[in-house]
Amino acid sequence: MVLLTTAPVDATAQHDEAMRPVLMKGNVAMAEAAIQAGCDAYFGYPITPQAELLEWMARRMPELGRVFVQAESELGAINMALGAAATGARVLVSSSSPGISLMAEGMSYMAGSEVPIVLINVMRGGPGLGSIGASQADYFQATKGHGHGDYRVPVLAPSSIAEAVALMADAFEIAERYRTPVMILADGVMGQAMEPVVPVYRTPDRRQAGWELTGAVERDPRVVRSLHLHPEELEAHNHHLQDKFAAIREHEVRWAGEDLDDADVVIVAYGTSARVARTAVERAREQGLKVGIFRPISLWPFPSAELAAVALGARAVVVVEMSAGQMVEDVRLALGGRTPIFFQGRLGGMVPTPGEVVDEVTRAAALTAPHLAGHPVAHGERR
Amino acid sequence: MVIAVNSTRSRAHGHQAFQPLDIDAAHCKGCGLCVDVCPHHLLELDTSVVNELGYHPTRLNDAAACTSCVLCARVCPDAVFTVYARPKGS
Amino acid sequence: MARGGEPVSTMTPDTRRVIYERPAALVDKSTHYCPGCGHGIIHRLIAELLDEMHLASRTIGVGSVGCSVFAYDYLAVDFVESPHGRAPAVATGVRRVRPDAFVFTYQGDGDLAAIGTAEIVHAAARGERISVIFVNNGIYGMTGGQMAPTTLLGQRTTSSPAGRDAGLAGYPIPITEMLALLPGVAYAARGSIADPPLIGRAKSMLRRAFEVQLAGAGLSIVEILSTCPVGWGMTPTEAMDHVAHDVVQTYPLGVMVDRLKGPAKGTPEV
Repeated sequence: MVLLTTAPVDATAQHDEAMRPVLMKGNVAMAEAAIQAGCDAYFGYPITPQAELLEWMARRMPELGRVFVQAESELGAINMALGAAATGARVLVSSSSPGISLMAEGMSYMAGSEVPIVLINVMRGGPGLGSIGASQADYFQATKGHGHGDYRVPVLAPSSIAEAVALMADAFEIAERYRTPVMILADGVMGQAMEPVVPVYRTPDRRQAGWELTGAVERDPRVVRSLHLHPEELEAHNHHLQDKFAAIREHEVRWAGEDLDDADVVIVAYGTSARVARTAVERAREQGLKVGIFRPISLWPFPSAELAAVALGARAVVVVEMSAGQMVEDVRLALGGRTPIFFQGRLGGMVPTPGEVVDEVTRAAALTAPHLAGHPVAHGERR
Repeated sequence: MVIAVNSTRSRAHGHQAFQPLDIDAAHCKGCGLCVDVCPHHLLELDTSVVNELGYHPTRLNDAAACTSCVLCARVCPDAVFTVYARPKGS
Repeated sequence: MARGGEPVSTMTPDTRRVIYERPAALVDKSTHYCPGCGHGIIHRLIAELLDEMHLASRTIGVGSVGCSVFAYDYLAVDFVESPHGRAPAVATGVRRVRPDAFVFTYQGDGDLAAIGTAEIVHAAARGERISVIFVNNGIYGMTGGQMAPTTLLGQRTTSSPAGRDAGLAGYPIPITEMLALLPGVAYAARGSIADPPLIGRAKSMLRRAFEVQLAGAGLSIVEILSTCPVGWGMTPTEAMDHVAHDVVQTYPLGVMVDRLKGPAKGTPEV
């Protein structure tokens, strides 16, 4: 379990030149962070709201003698990534919701073949062509595996551009340590906004783990595949994958908390929703409500045990999402009915306002006030 | 019916005549393409034998008439043939 | 010495001079392919060339989905499995990060000309330095004998039981001719395995395709008319005759373009 804080970069503090924050668009910052993390190859296809990420890569990767290909489609891009990563290259792919759907097949194949890549989804409104506004409606897609078969993919959800930059190296490390695709779940607000970023990056070490396709020079040929036609063989392979997921669950949970020590109401939110929630917490506290934030950073593995522990001290949980409610189901599973759960969401690419969140927090606090203890409490979810 | 593991073993009698072909009968699938292709019609599926794959493997009927033309090996999908050059005077 | 065999006599050493033996790059293992299936011949040709051109140790093969999905078990080189149709994209990824590798895809007619049309067209348009081995037997063998984009008009398959009708199912696609129009395609040819001389010509085409890749000239593709005796309801011999006499009427043999030798007739210089 890793506890992080997400204090915004203080742009007015004294920094030496190397540490001076730079105003960067989210898409560009994520691209540069991947480059600095040692990304060898980028494959992508233009789609709003992440086209700037591809464009930055189109300029920078050839400058550095690395690989950039604008594929014919997201289907092409994810399969190019599969090929490149199968040789041991460090690979990044990015897209947005409709393109991620096209990549679901590739994600399943990479999970089954144990090929590591990092995939960034800059979420937009859906379903279908939807809109180009930010959304969090791909939570199910990301955390429940995207494609067919019994697999999970680690999912990291930054809530600021600076955090996205910091998590990039982690993402490549996790991918390579466990031989799995890793998804970074961002959204259109984060992709398009500009925020100060301290341009200090981390480059994870390289390793040759012995499975990479490099040409069978003085060794037996290697095969990267997901086909195991004999049922017993496939069962054994799936158990191996499940063991891997168990290890990831144990070691790669990430979350952050603010103002939780005395919180009566805990807001659970990630990504841009968590930014809105922070403002809501400030306002709610001004009104005398004791509110805190539990912010999952790893959406898979979901910090269930950690959330359950935090929620024990609270009398209500308010989940805030830019969707009809997807993470709220994992919150429900984690809390096991012990704490009433309320929900505030906006659909179709709209961003909740701090005022809406404060209203729901206020309602949750009122409905679960101590003088009502013993009376039936309405669970205030919208659905 | 005889289940043959490898037809070359059946020739290990200290025979001195030149054998232009070694046939891996265990991997032959009895497709018959070599039978068609041999210009001297020297190959035949041996119906007295069923190999472990369940097929009648091919057999060279007259080693002395084989000219090592390699056509059988060129057409074989299972690469069961090894072809040798006939030494002068044999 | 014959594979899997002992010397003719355990008393005298084997002094016979080998003029043909099983290639080293072909794994010593029985294939799952049906008797008389063309895949066996084509795998063997590839293995012979990998041996002759000393390419095996730098080869990364890109497999596909179809009867030949198990090619990685039969060719002794590094191999990556692709989702159906995606092999040219997977090969692009391999080739771009491994400039010194020798990269080929091995694809059937459904893989390349149905689900994978976008991937092959764009790999060709980009002139990716890969060799595409396109095995065209006009049917979907692995899934039980359904119609393929290259199935002939009138041909009966399990999904065209009354024979392929142009009004319902369109015409067979001459995909290799289409690809040959693209400047990024440095070599495009169609051969067949219908008899030993044709097998020899197909091998020459594959060799030329490999040379074109090594010269860095662009994408090379060799379509090989192959057989599916079980899917066609024919004996292996009948299937070879069908390729030799019937399939070539729709899919004529020859070299469509060899840009290392000069531009194709009628195509604009780029």
